[in-house]
Amino acid sequence: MRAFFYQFDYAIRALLRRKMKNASIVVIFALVVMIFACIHFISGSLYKESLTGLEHQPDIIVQNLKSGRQLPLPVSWARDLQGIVGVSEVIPRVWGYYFDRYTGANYTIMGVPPEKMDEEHSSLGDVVPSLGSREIAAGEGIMEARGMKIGGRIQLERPDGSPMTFTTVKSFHSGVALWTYDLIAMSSADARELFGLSEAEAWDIAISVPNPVEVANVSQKVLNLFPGARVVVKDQLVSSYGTMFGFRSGFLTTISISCLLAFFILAYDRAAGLSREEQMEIAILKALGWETRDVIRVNMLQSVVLSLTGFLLGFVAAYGYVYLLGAPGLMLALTGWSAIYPSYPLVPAVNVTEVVALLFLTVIPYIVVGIVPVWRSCIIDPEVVFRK
Amino acid sequence: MSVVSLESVGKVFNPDGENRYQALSDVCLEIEKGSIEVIAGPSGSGKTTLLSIIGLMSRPTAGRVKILGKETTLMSERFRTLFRRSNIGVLFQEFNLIPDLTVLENMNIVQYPAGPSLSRMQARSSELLERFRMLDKARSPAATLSGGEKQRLALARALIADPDLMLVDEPTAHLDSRLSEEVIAIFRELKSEGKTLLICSHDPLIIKSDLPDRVLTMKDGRLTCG
Amino acid sequence: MIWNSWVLSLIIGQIGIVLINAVAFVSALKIIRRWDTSSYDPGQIDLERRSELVAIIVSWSLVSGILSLIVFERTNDSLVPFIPGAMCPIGVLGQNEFWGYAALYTKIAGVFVYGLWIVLNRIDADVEGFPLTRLKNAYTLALFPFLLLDVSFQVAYFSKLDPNVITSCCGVVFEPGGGQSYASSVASLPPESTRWLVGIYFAVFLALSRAISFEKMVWGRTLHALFSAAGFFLGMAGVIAFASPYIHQMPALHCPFCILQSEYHHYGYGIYIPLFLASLLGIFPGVLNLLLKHYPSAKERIERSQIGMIRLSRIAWLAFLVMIFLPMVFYLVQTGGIDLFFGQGFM
Repeated sequence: MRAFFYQFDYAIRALLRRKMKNASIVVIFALVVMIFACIHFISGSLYKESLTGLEHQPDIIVQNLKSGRQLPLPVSWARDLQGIVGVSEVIPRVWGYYFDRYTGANYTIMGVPPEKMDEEHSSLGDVVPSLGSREIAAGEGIMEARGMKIGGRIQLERPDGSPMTFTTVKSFHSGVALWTYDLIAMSSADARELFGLSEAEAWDIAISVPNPVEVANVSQKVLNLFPGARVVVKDQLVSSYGTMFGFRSGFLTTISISCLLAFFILAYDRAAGLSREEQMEIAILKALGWETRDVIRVNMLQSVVLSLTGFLLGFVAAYGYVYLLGAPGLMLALTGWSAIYPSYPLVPAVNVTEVVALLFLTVIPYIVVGIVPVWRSCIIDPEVVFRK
Repeated sequence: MSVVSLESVGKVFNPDGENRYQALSDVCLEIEKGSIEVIAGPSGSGKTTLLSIIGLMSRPTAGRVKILGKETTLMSERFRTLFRRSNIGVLFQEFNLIPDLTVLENMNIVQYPAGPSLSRMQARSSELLERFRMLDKARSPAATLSGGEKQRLALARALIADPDLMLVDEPTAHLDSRLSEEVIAIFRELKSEGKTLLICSHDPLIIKSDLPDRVLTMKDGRLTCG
Repeated sequence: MIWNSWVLSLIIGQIGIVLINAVAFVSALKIIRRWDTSSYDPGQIDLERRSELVAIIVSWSLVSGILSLIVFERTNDSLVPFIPGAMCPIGVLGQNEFWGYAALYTKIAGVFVYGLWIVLNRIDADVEGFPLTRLKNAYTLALFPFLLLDVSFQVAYFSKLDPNVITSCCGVVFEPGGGQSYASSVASLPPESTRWLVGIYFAVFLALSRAISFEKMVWGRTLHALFSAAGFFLGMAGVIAFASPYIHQMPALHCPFCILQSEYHHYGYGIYIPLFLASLLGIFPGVLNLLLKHYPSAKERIERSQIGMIRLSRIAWLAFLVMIFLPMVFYLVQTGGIDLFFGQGFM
């Protein structure tokens, strides 16, 4: 046991004797880990936020399809759907996307029925105030893009091009920015007018099914009632998000790239064999009575220290970069698909098992590959080394 | 009692390769306990290889080797190392100190694999350093020592395990005559403590002195007496 | 096929282990054919060195092989959210029963098979003259197909998992008196008598072993090994029959996997680790007995190992006993003496 501690002490001191070389190994290792960790953190956080948002989605959404495309559906469907056993609430929804020519951005317009006003809207995480005719509540992005303040006005166009002017009564707060950034809430009557939907029409119908076991049954009954309809079940969304953010989203790619990079470092440092000085040192130790096993153990300890230090550094650096600084630069690359993007802070989401997996897939290869060159130096008779 | 017993020992490097080199041929040697033997001969004659085999740092390709009564000819590396650690002290021609480590550290690392308690390890190191008047330099890096100091450190290091057999390779190669005399005196001391010494040297100071019990000559890998 | 980082790491790790052992396999072949400790040939020195390197690499890979049992369980645990109907790893295993259980049992057996190699290797390294090296390398050869099986079962198992197929959860698998599987018959063992059986068995076993010092006698070690082997199965039965319900604090819940989950503070590990350790350390000395006659030069070293292992095995068994009965004691203290199974005072 004591021998182990002495060898550990020797290992550390030996590392400190060659500061420059070992520091550069640690730094490169840290960079590799940092790249992976950043991508992992960002996508993890986005995934977590999407999941949070999904929580407030309705259990089932019913849409009307013709030729594979979505069309408005009759509000009368709601009556029939209400009759299905297991259904608690059936709400026809009026909402859509609006393309704003002035900013080139897409807004989401949500029509809120009067009975739903003045209460906390769970999917928005915020209260939708009482909106009278031509009054709206807008998200931060829209306020900024149009240079609006509370009380200001905004003009939107109906399908025939005629304008509708709205007054902004409230802005959604930044805590729910991901969902409300480009959102405008208005009364459902206004929304219908803006989109050219009649009183008897709605865009889709949201159904609440309190008992999760019954969701499958209810979906089937909806299809029985309206065979051509599309039924979107929240559970499916959850698992497809999972797949999307999981393996296929590039997790495999980033982890393989990290491994490859780690191996590249290994190739540079280890496979080239040990330097003359290092060989000499090993020969001296062998001559003094150190076994091959002891020398290899020292080498492995050094590898562990170097790679773990690099890993921790990279991890902490990535954490700071993403969650404290907001990942300037990288965020642009990942979320810059719309003209408006929020500068909200990301919610920390660290998946321990994936971190541990990365730890194993970089640290362990590094340690393992180090063994053979050291062993090669160990088996040379000390005399041969001294002679050179 | 025979401390070292060599029977027709031979060593060939690269036997199947292009650089086939016969370093030792048919070497016979018996060294009695408590004696000092000197092996003289030009460089390249195989002295270092012979020391390496007796010091169990390499294996012969022919013959038999017995050290301190133990048959070591075909011993595995591990057991050779373990045996050497406790029974043989080696003083190398180039000292083979680790230059970046301090004097004390150079002494301590010899003891690491055996894992003694920290106090015992320090005590043993200090005791030997004091004997060879190196204690005040304990914290100096080995690279900063003079030739004589390095020799004394190497000697102290070789004695850590209190070995019965000491192998010495060209001890006076880097020393002036005054320091050489000092070293010879130390060897006399060791002999009086009952240690057996095998010294390779072509320094007439040693060969012609009263130190050795016997002087052997090595030439082209062969050993002759006288 | 369901992918997540656990499955990925597990499969990659296992493949790595197989690759390394393939190298060891080739070396082992060479060694068995040309090993000659009385030879001066530099080839022999080369073999010895290779043998040492291979031993280092193989022993580390086998240690990971042993630990992969835990990783396998954790991997199954991580897949639970993706398999409808599953609430613990049993559910996941149940979806691909044949390959899943094949993989599980192979891994459990692997703990013993790999462990024995590691013990053999340590002894071999400590005895001069390499008497056991040939045997060890023959064992290396035999290990390789086993490793291949291990990996193949896992790949076959994971590749057939389907997130769209519903599976039954452990409540059904371990239903006492209900289903027809082996599992439910174990769960149906009467908890009252089983706990007495377990308690008495181990008390007698350990007392005997200590009092007579089984470790010092050849037949004693064999006895200890047999007791340990039976103890392994009895211990598992005990976990299912009475320990698991006490941990869940529900008499009908017998699942041995659920107790490994975080809701129960991973208590299961505290039971299984001593169980495996105790069985390993108890059984190996019995196996090593077979070597004593054929390898006299190694006898002393082997015996030292055996004695050490048996002593540790006793301690591990004791730890296991404590861990398996602790939930019961805890429950009785909490309820003031009312037994979980009988709703009345503890007999």
